[in-house]
Formats: sequence, C-alpha cells, structure tokens
Amino acid sequence: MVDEFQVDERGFTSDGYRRLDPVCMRSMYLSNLLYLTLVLIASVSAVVFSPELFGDAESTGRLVVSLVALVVIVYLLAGPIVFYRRYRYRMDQDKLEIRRGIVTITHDMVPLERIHQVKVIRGPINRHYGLADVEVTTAGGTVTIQMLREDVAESIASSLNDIVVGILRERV
Amino acid sequence: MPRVYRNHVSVVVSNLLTAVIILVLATSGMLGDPEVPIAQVIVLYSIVFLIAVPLTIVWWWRTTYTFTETEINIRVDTVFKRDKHISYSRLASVNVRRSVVDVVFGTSTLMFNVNSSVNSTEPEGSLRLRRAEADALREELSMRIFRTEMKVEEDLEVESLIDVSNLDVILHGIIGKPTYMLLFSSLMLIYAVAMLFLDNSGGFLTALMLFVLSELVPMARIILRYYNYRVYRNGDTITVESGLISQYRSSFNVNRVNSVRIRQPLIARLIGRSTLEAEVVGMANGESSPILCPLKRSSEVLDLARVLMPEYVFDQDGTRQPRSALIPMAVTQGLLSLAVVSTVIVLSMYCVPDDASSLVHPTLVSAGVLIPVLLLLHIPLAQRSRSIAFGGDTFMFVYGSYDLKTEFMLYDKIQTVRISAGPVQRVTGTSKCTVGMMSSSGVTSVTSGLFDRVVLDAVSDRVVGRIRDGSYDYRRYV
Repeated sequence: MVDEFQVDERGFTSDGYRRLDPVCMRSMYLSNLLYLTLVLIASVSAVVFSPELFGDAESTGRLVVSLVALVVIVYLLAGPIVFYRRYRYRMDQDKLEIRRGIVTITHDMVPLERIHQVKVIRGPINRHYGLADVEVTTAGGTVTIQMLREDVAESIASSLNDIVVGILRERV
Repeated sequence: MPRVYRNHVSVVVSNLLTAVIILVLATSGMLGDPEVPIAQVIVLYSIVFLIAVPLTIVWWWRTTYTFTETEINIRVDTVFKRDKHISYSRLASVNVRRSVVDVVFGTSTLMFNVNSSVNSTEPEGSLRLRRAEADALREELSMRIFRTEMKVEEDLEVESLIDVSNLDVILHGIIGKPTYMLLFSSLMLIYAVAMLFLDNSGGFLTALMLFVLSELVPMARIILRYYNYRVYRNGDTITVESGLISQYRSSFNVNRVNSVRIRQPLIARLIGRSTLEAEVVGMANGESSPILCPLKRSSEVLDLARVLMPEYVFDQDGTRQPRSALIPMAVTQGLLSLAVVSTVIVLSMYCVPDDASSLVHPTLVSAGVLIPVLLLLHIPLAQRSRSIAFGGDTFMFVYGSYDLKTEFMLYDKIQTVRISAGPVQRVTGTSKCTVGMMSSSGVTSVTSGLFDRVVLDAVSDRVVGRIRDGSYDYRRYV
C-alpha cells in the first residue's frame, strides 16, 4: 500500500505534494505553550475553587474539568507532530492544493484563475523561526498555506502573483 | 456628453422625517421617567432638528450623480467629501424601489448594485428621481448592463411565468422560514402562554417580545415585500416585481446567477410545497437571497425553474448517499444526544434550586427526551434525501434533513473546493465537499452530504478541467 504522506529525497510525495520544514513544529509548540499555560491556570483555578464553583457537585465538577484539561493538553502536545506529518501542499499551472488536519483531514483546492490577492503574513512566533504564511484570497473565501520557510513563502507568493497578473493582462 | 443628476428634493423630506421619528421615539421613551426634564429635552431635540435642516439641504444640493460614457460618478462636496466612481462594467443590476414617500411625490428610487462580494447587502449608490425620468435612466443603464433593450412599459405587459396568488405569499410568510426559526418562535409562544397562566408578567412579556420579533415581524416583512408577485424573463434578463406598500422591481442578467436553489422547509414539504431562490451577485436589496418563487406546489416550482433557469436546472437522478454514511452520522448524532442527556441530568441534579418553578423539571426532562429524538431522527431523513449529480455546466447537491435544499451550481462560479473527512468518516471511506462562491449577501458555502471520495473529487476535477480545456470563458460572466 502506498503511503500518501511518504516523501522522496527531494521532499515530494509520489503525487507531487511538498511537506513543510520541520522547524514549523517548534513554532507550533511555542504557541501551544502559551495556550497550555492558560489551560493549566484555568484548570487549577477551577479545581482549587471547586466548592464555590460546583457546590454539591464538587467531585463531578473536578472530574469533568480534569478530563477536559487532559484532552486539551494531549491535543496541544501531540497536535504539532500530527499536523507536520499530515501537512502537504502542491501548486501546478491550474490549481493550488493543500492537505492538512489533526482530527479532521481536509483537502483544499483553489483554481489559480480565481485568485484575487496573495498576501505573505508573518506573525511574531513564526517570524522568530523564519516562517511565514501565504494567504490566497478568492471571491469565495481565503485559503492559507501555513508555516512555510520565508524564502519558500516569498517564492510561492511571487509565482502566484505572476500568474494572477498574467491572467489579468490576457483579459485587457 | 456627461449628464448630471441630483436627488429629488423629497430626499430632504424623507431624511428629515426619519430624524423626526427617531427624536419622537427617543422622547417618548423618557416620558414615564419623572426625573427627566421633558421640556428641556424637547427644546434640545428641536435645536438638533433645526441644525439638521440646513445640513440636510446642503448635503442634498452638493450630492451629484454624473453619468459619463463609461461610469457613474457620485460626488458629495460637503465638509465630508466623497468621490465614488462606479464603472458600468461593474454594475450587476439597477433596481427600482417605490416607497410610500416615492408614491406621495411621484418619484422612484434607483439602486445601483455592483458585482462584488464586499458591501453586497447595501447598494453602491441610490438616486431618487421623478418616476418618468427614473424609468428612462433605468432603461438606458439596463441597455449598458444587459445589452438588451428593456422598456418599462413593455415590462408591465409581460405575463408572469408563474401565477403566485397573495394567499401563496401569506402562506410563504407563515411557513416559508427555516424550521429551526419556526420551532424557536413556537416555543416562545408556548412559554409566553405558560407564563401567563403562572401570573409571571416579566417572563410573559419577554417571551411575547421574542415571539413577535422572531415570527410576526419577519412574517409581516415577507408579506409586505412579496405581495402582488410577478417574475418573468426577457432574453437573458430576469425581472422580479412585488410589494404591497413599497413596490420593488429587481432585474438581473442570468449570467450573474451563481446558483439556483429549491428550498423545502419541513412543514412546506409535508404539504408538497417548495420555494425557488437564487444566489445573484450584486442584488443588494436587503434580502439574503432573491426569491424567484414564494411557496408553491413543488411540481410547479420545478417547472418554473426549468423555464426560468434552463441553464442551471437539469433532469438527472443523482448518486444517493451510500449506506456506509449511516455510521458516521449515527456516531455524531449519538454523541450529541449523549451530551444533551448528560447536560440535562447535571442541570436537574445540581443546578435547579429547591424553590424553582414547578415547570423547570418537566421542561428539562422534555428537552432531554425531545432533543435526542430530533437528533436521531435526523439520520434517516438525511440518508433518504441527500444526493449529488453532475450536469454539463452545473452540478447539484441535495442536502439537509428536516429542511431540504436542492442546489444547482455553475462549475465556473466555484471559487474554492474543500473535501473533508473526520475520523469515523475516514474509517467508512466517506467525505463531505464544501464549495465556496460569491452570493447575494457576500460569500457563501454549500456542503454536500457524505459520499465516496472519488465521487466528490469530480467537483474539483470538473472545475479545473473546464479552465484547462477552455470551456470556461470569463467573458460569459462579465
């Protein structure tokens, strides 16, 4: 059976998709660390103040809070690995495709002909790791290729811009 | 030679009238409060009104509409300057509205809508002129947009493609809305009656207000908007006319239509009725999707769709949702039911105070039984109805469960395609497809039922395939 996520030495899957740079996991772990801190503060506070918060249902309340916190913590810890393993993108002459997902796997397809605008976005954490997102806008919504290396993001944005400008020139 | 227009002077009257109504409402809200010095408030509001009069007149006088060979230039030359250029090539439609003020002053208001997903719920500009002048200008602009001659007098003689009686419109106002809205307003009515019997005036008034806002106001709005309904097609131009007090006439070119939808709310479906709607970019007339036919017998609606929009509607039995889709649906609805039952149990055991009303426990138990039943009933209803089919230029999703929608969409108008599968769906080999496109109210997405991945891949393959082989020609939609 062919592993659709397996990449060759050039970094391509058998059907021509590319994967992200592993450094993206560090960026995700850093941002998840912030969420993790918030989740831990909220859960510990809920457990400490459980008599006031839950009244008669103190033990049930504690159990529910602990279970929810556990699920969120597992998601925040395991999420980046699964995200990196599953994230693939591909661009050819006609379309842009992105496959991704942690729990639900999605496959986005945007015909290049429909693209109106291309943006490169660098958030503070991504910038620290030299990463950037490419946001592609169509009249029916936006699609983002996340956490690309900055040079790759610039190159993709530039190619997409050239294609969009070329299409517009043909129409004038 | 550019022609310059200015709004009819009645615009000043209607703007000042609106200001008076707002000020009177604001004042009347304070009448019951003995601490408010009402005489001083009236003097203050009168000063505000007197200042508003010259400002409105200056705004009216200094707002001009210049029609050149290529564009409309709307210029506001007051303290707040504005200079808007609308190219004729961007215009999607020019609609006419005749409000009470229009009828009194013998004017019509033209509304210019552009082909854009931004600010799509409001017209890009509006101009009030004497009726004959407005009709002449609309004819001329329609010529530029639709490239076919449209005479207002001729429009009046064209026979409607379907006979919609005012009784149909009233029925549409009552049961044409989505079932969840009908359910909410019914619950509010039941709650209001219960509160009345329990002598709880606060609860009664709140529930009654919610019932009025969710049921009676939308119903009245629909009846006023769609009374005296006519729809017809002249070449590639579709025109919809209606209105009880204000009269509306909306025309749009068929190439501005992104999708056509036959909608069947639950009660309407039980009595064999449907409504026909379209997603038309640039319709911007305050409604989410233009209604092409209020609730009528389903067979009549389908016949109308075939005559009015033959480019979209095709006769083909679709691929039905496979039996394997039952498993992910059962898991999802089962988990949701479990969550509802758990919440009800926790609320009943720990959250209801001892001195709570005698209605609380029966209400919670009813919700704990009724909601899971509705969630589980969704499974067979969805399984029986959902399908997908592919035509030459369009494809069709049948989706929903209680309320059913059959949507015909043009491949060439699809902007994005997303195929997604959750963990249980992956085990059963099913996925769902969401397509994004422009709509009457901006951007919309339509999601299919659960199908085999190979079936859904055909959507993106055909969208890209038409671009690749040259079947897609952007000039068709300009």
